[in-house]
Amino acid sequence: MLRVTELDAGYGFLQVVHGVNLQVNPGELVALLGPNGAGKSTTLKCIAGLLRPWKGDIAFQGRSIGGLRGDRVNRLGIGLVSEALNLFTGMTVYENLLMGAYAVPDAEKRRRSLDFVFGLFPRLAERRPQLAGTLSGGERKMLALGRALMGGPSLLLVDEPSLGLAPKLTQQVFEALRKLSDDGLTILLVEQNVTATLEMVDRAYVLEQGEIVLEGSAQKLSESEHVKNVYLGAMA
Amino acid sequence: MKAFLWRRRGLGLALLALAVLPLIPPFDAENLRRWLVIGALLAGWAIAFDFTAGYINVVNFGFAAFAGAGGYASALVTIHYGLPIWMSMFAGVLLAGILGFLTGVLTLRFRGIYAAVAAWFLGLALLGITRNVSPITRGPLGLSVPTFFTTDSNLPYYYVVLGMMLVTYLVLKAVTESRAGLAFRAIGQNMEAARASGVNPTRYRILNFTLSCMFAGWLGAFYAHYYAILTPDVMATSQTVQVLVAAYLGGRGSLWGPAAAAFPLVFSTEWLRSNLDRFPGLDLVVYGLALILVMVYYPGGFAELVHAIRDRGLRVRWGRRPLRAQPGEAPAVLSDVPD
Amino acid sequence: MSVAVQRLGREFRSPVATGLIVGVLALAIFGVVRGGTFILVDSLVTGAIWALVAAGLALTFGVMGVPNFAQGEFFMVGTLSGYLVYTALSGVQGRPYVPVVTILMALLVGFVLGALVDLAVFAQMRRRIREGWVMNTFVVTVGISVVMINAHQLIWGTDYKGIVAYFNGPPVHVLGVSIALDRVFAISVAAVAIAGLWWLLSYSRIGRAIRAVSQDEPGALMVGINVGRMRTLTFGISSGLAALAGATLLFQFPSFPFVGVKPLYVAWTVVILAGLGNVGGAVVAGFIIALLEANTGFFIGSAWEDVVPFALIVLILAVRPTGLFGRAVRSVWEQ
Repeated sequence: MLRVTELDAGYGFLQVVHGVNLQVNPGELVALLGPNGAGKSTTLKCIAGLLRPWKGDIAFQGRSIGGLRGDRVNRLGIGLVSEALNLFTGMTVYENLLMGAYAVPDAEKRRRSLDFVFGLFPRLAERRPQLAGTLSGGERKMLALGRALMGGPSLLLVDEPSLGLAPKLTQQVFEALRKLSDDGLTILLVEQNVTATLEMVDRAYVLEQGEIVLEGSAQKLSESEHVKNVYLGAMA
Repeated sequence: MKAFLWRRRGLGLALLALAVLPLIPPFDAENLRRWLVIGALLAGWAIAFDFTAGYINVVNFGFAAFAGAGGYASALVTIHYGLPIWMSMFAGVLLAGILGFLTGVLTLRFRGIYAAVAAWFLGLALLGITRNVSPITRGPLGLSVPTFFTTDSNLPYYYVVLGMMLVTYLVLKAVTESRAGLAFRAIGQNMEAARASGVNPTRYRILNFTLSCMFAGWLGAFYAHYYAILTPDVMATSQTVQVLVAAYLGGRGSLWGPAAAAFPLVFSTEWLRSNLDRFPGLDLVVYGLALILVMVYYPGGFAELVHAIRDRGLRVRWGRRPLRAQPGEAPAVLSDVPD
Repeated sequence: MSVAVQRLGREFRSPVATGLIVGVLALAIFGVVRGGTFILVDSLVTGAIWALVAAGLALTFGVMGVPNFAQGEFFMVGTLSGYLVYTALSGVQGRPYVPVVTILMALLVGFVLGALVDLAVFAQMRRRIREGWVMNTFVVTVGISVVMINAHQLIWGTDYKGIVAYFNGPPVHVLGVSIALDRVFAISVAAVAIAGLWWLLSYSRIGRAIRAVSQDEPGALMVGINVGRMRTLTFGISSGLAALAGATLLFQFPSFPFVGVKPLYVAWTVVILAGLGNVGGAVVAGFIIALLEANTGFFIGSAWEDVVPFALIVLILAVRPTGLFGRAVRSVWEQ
């Protein structure tokens, strides 16, 4: 469904991503792992249309989307939960969710999406009329995820879902993501928390200093020497 | 010494040309010489304006009020205390400087737009006050001001204002090349980096703003003693706009660019006004459009054009290509938000 | 509804704001007691119109980050369109509808012109300019203002083009004061327009999208909002409102090139008082400024009518630049 070929990207004079190749097949739950500053978020932003790639190609469902603006990417069916969440802090939970379905013309579909999101995150239903800026960290993350889901995407991109969350909440979010994937949603996520992620995803790529150094099934990666030494050892 | 002069050869040549110009036909006609005086005056003002707008990125939108205040101060001191004009001009410098300093202290702590608007409104308030305190300023009726010389010729006035323009340029240029100037540039471009280097942005901004206003006032004093009459309209926003247009068309941040742009601006305005008076306002439409076009497509102005030609011949790049970013180019972020 | 109250509550939290509101009310009462209800009524009408122009200005700054120096010129466009349309329709029957059609035409012209200006100027700048957006757009709007004023002069001349009145009838009597029909019309239009704007921003899809763009731009992109189009729309709305105000007040402000100068100053005064970018606050502040002006004019003399608001603004900018209702101003350290 998604194929990234030889992607180069960066900021200003600094190149952050060097020749990245990755692929996500329909229904998969794939992770892009790596340390801080490896270029994971940059890659995701290029896919989502928030950053213009320097070189390379990004294809979604066979169609080239590299360089397309963020709103067009969204309307093609790719949802993004960014690291900063980018919630509309002056709007209520309900309004934020409604905005998630901005590009969905069918009112019935919007209603069903809303019910689905409230079902997935009952906490949000409780906080429905509350301003997004007043929510707790975990609730905001749920709201950002819910908002992205409101658009009915075929591909969901999630940037650092566990960031800033206590372990219990991380667990909840990961469970929600696993459930969504089991129900058929294609997900690509970016994470620093290697242990928890490898337990949850189908496949993963490891990105270091802008280059893919490892790829394979979650099983294979968790058994790899490199991963064990560099990431899992430190996480013991 | 030789190297110093050689590097400044452009400036020297320009100065020589300007000095000789009013002696050569057709510029030896009095009406054209008048244009030269106005041009040099605008040039001086544009330099002072650019010192603030081009270096600390603050648009002094009340500029004309500071200039006008200088004019009134000088005029009133000459009239009421009988001091020689060159001395009372310093009263103009002083008043404009104090006003500039106060404005700066009050508003330069904050983002540039607040300083710009504050200066604008201060200018409007000053304009209103000047209009209303008629017993002192004679308000809209006009204050009669003693002139430098008794002659009708524009020539001596021209050399005076040319000299003042030169002094303005030299002093402000020297400041921009000093440590203070580095601080200005740092503040104008990257506040965080400046702060990390130990620069106190507010203090330097106030210094810059005050200096700029001082020269505005000094030149304003010239204005008063040249035109021989002062009305509050000298402080009007439209006067600031004229200076602003010269500064931006000439090339912000270069100091010499605005001065260079001032002369053709004045000449074309005056020419259009006297010849195409069937089309009132045409000159300003053209300048407004020029300003917009420059700001959108060629923000570097005339100065950048000159540099580009000097560096690359006539293959000048117009506008900034909004295309796929190449490594090493400015960031091409699809939304305007920094990352 | 409770959302609006929630939001309003957050914004009035400041003691300074509350203190100032109380102060203004006191001023209003004082003015009424000493000068008669005439001052109050006069302020209400003028205030409502200034609120319109200022709301547009606040909207532009809040959503696009553009401090619009040319806002007064769109007011001028409104007076001009109003004049042209009204005189063209002067022979037409159906009296009550002619003024309404006139102002609606002005609204349309203002909207279209604003949208065109955004597309031609600001959209281009958005693609090219990275730093100094606020200052640079300010200077560009100065250029736009100059072009508009002088284009008017070039094409339609400097004569005052006015109308006697929209409605010829006996004045209405309210609270012991007689108000001209045209002023009743003006305040009704302003009320409808402000209500319409409020409804648009709070409850419509487009309005939410506009708010989204002003609150979090990447977020807006992420949910599929065409940010550039929203900005064009916003500028169109802002200009349309100013033009509407101009046409509505045609009986008081005849059309000529510089008619937009005073509305510009007032709108800026209002917006600074309210806090740059705060639309609701601009509406409230519009009335405050009108009240202040009316009181100054009446008690001190009309020559000082202009100076006092300006001095006030300089004071506010020095002491509390965020205005009554605005969000905290980022200091020089945080640019």
